[in-house]
Amino acid sequence: MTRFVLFRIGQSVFTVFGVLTAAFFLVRLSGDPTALLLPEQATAAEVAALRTELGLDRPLWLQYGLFLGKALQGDFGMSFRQHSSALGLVLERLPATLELALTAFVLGIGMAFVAGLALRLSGSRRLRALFYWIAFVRQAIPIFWFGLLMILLFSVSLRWLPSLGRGGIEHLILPALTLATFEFALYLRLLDAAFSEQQTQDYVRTAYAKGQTRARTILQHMLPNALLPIVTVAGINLGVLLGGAVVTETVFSWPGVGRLIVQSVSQRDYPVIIAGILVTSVVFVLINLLVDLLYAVLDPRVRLS
Amino acid sequence: MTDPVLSVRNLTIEVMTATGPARAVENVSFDVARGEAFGVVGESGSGKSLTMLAIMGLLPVGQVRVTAGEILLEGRNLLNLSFDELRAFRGKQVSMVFQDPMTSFNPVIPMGAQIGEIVRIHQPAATADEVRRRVVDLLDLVGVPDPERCYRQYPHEFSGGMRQRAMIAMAVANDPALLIADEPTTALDVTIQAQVMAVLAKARQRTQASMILVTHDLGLVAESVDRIAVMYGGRILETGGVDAIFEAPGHPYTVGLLKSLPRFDRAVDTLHAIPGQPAMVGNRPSGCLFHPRCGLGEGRVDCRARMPELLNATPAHWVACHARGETARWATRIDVDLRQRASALDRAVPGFSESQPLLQVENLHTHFRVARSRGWGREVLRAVNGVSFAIDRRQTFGLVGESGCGKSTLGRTLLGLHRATGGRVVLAGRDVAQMNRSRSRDLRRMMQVVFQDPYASLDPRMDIHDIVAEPLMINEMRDDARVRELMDRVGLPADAARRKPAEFSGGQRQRIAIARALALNPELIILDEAVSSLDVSIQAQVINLLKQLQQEFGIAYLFISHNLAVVRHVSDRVAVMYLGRIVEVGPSDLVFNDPRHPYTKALLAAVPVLDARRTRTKFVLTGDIPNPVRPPSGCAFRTRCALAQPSCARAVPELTAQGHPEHFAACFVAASNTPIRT
Amino acid sequence: MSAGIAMAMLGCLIAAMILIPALPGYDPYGQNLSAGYTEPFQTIEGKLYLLGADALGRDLVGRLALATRVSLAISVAAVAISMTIGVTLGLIAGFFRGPAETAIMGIADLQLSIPRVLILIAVTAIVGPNLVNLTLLLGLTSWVSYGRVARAMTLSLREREFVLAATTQGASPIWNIRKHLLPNVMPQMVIVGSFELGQIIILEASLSYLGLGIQPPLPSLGLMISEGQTALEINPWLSVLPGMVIFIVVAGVQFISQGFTAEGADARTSAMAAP
Repeated sequence: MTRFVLFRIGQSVFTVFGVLTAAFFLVRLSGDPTALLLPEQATAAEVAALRTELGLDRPLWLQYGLFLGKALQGDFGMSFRQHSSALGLVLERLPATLELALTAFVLGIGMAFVAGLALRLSGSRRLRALFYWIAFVRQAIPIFWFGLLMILLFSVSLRWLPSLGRGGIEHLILPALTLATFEFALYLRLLDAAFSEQQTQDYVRTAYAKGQTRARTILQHMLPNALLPIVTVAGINLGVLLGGAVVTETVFSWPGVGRLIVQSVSQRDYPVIIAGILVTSVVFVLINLLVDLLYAVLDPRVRLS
Repeated sequence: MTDPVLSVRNLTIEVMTATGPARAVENVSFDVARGEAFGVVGESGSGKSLTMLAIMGLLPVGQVRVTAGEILLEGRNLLNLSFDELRAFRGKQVSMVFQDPMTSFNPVIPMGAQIGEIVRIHQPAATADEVRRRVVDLLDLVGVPDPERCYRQYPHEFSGGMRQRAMIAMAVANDPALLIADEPTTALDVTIQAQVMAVLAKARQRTQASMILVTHDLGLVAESVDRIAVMYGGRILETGGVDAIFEAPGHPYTVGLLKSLPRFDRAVDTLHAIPGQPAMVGNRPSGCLFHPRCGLGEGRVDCRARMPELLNATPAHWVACHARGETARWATRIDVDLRQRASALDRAVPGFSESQPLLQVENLHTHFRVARSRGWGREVLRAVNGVSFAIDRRQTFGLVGESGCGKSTLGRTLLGLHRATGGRVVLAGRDVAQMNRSRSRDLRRMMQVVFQDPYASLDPRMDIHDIVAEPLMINEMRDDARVRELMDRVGLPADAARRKPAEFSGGQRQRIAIARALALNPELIILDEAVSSLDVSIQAQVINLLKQLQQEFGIAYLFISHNLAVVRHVSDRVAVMYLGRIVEVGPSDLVFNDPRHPYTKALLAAVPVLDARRTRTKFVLTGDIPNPVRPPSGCAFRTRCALAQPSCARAVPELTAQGHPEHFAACFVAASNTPIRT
Repeated sequence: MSAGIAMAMLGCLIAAMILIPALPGYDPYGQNLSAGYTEPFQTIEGKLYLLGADALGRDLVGRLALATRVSLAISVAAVAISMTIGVTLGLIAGFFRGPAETAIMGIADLQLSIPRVLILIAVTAIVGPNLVNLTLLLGLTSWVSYGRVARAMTLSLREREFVLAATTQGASPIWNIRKHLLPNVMPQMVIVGSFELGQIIILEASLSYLGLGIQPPLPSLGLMISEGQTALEINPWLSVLPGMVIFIVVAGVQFISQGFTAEGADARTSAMAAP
């Protein structure tokens, strides 16, 4: 177990390091940022001065080293457009993203479990077909269009809820539902597939052979095993959720990290883009780490080895 | 006579197949008396397991259903009960020991809680403490060491044998009236099987439960039950006292089964092989189910016309055969026939003895570096740990041992699929290891292989012709005529060429694998458990085929198997492996008739034999096979050995001659030839 | 059965996309400012706007047809690219193991540790959005699912007895890969690909919606939704219609994919019946 934990922590550190490296070289690929920062009629001397200031005249490996060193201190440079630190701008927006993503996640996975267990416990084919249709339809709709339909219905037509910005709970409802329904579709199918797989396992037959009830067999025997494959793919799905959050934030003008990144891209504000992506990755890697540790706790075969 | 505990009447079960519903079990009736042990014997597809699941009410919903009949347990028809009413019976009146102890427990729940569950379900009033004490008692009863600690452990921390003991503990927890054991030892090694059967007998004695033992192993029923039913194609063909049936079988199928079984308590040179393929669900012949494979009823009109009823030959012996009066005479005729074929075979085998063996293995080592199960770093698994032997041309060399002994690793090392860590492999006078890659590849082509799993050995996307042709294609020797000839040699129909492996049964697939192995004209074929997954009647066909081919092409076999009777039947010489080393080696007759190593003796004693009346010193080897990564010091067997001395821990015994120049055993005390006491 | 219906639905849509722009009057670029924000089924200046027109009065039927073609072409090309990369890398990692496997799976894990949308946003920001870049990027960033499945299958296949038997007969790694691994891996790859196609169509639309995909004046479904969003109160159809096209295409593809998956499962569980 200790070995597993240490291994996963090491892997996480390596991942963050990899993201940093990739980000550095991608930005270097993009060419000289001085053109972005200086007016078009800038003199060669002005360009050279700025290059020295930004450290662009040094060898690449040294720039890389300096970049890493600074990044470790949380210094991604100043935003090209707004005169404040890139990381500061990102961290300012982080709570909004977390609020949206977490609400959607809890809501979505909660609905998925209620629905998934309901259809297992009832054993109803009709309920299953219904839920599968909902999940199918929802998965064929892009997040941004679903958001637009929500705006169209609840803001434009019914005028019940605001369509833009962040504020009270009424601002959260539409974007959170947009993302949550997506998560619901994803996890409902995962959970049901996991249950279907467990259903044919020998230990389920053993439980019935003991005289166990259907409900207890599902809840006490199958559920803990069905959770394992879901936790395994949780990392990838978290990526989908965060990606969805970027789009959702843009649709609803939600002032989160995703929207900041998209805006920065159109302004070519590289320090903010890098800081934004790095922060997102760190959050993602951390949650993934926690999820894997949770897996280890859930599965005694991992926990005890 | 008291009422039977269980009475099954005219049970018929239908399963859904691709072509619609088909009867998997038809008109099956039997009784199990109070306290009786009843055996149900049959090959795969005979419907024996479905019948048991029907008794438990555990048939898979939707795909399988009971369409007719009654299952009376203590006088109540279980088929009329609702799920909740049935629940009260399951685990209380009737309980089941399943085949696979690996998957039958929930992997994420501690063992104690899983056994406690069956107590809590049926004794809701019991306190947590009472349940716990009951579970610890049960674990103690079935011989799980340190029950208090095991209570908290998870299934994966138990060995296979221990899990099956726990399964038995669970099954008898509520003193059931009937215990159903469905192939309870099939997944276990033979010495562990003997332990588990002993535990089962003890638990049954304690609870006075009746038992149904379902198995394909005729030896196991001979030793463990009073009466049996022989099932084939979903019907009972014969039922009666086990002694009576094994002494004078009334159905030609039973005769065939008994005669197709290799025996190591009796020398048989040729096996009787029931021809053809078993009657599978959805593809059953009309008339008597068995008539297409039957040697007795050949040509009889009524055999083709209708299924015979189960009628009594003697008051306690029932047979479903139109010609049941002639079975005994026919059986004698088979024996004569077999003897004739055997003597023909004897004459044909040349008394070959060359100075140079075909294959010589000297001090071979295959070690693996494996991750430690606990803590850091890696440790060394000595799968093959200094093995030497030689195989002559045209000879069959048998290699037996239980799981983890390294026999399969040895075979794969010879094939070049594992890299040898040390030692020499000399094939036809040339050292394989000292050659460069392509030369050693050329040499290794003289050695081919047939694996155990007939489903994994053939590429599912290729047709049979391409599979058999592949070795030729690889070596750029395309020859379609040779492919046809090979297919014909192993008894495959010509129209098989363009079909895919999925259309063939296990036995036919092994024939295809054999044809493929023959393609390059090898000198040696390594048969790695090649007949182990086959049903007895099919196994006999394949063994006979292998013997025929050996005679015809002069091939040598390295026959790797855990099945002692089969090894005995096919081998000229035999080696017994335990934890990476050969502990005994010699001519087959000597090793089996006069075993010298205590492990060989224990193995032989653990194998159930057909001859139930033969009294033998049945002694059960204690303990599990040690973890091969950390074998005991000195003689690896000493931890389970009845003769172990303190000195055995200090040095590894060498193979020494045992009264015959070619019979060797590696034991410090074997030479003194002390008889083993139980 | 339902896969058949989906196939028919998709087929009609694709046929419409090809045929409609060939008819006169459906020029996707022809502006008519007096027809700006026309709602569906209205006639302006004697021309019927079946699905209405956008802010510049461009006919929506023509624009939708072209946009769908563009989206599908990009997505199919991206799937082909990513499948090729994924199968190749997965086979190499699974068959040869060792440092190659460590490196390939390391990159895969790294890529999975950043949401795909973010990678695409970041790289597009740098290389600039255009049709070729978008296709390449979608292809390059989507290989991981193929790679992982191909590697997992290869790992188990290379230990299967039919591969071992071929090895003992002298088969080279190339032989085993060509004759045994690839034919057994590919059907599963097609299943993964049919699932991925739907995902990529949505991803492409999302990027274009964010302004990071296809650039005007070329129409794209995502871009059209984004353009329509500014006029949601005036003519919601401008956003709703392109969304419905995406839905129909993705649902159709998903249906077919599910048909594949079920078929695959059938083929695995039941023995193949004689033809």
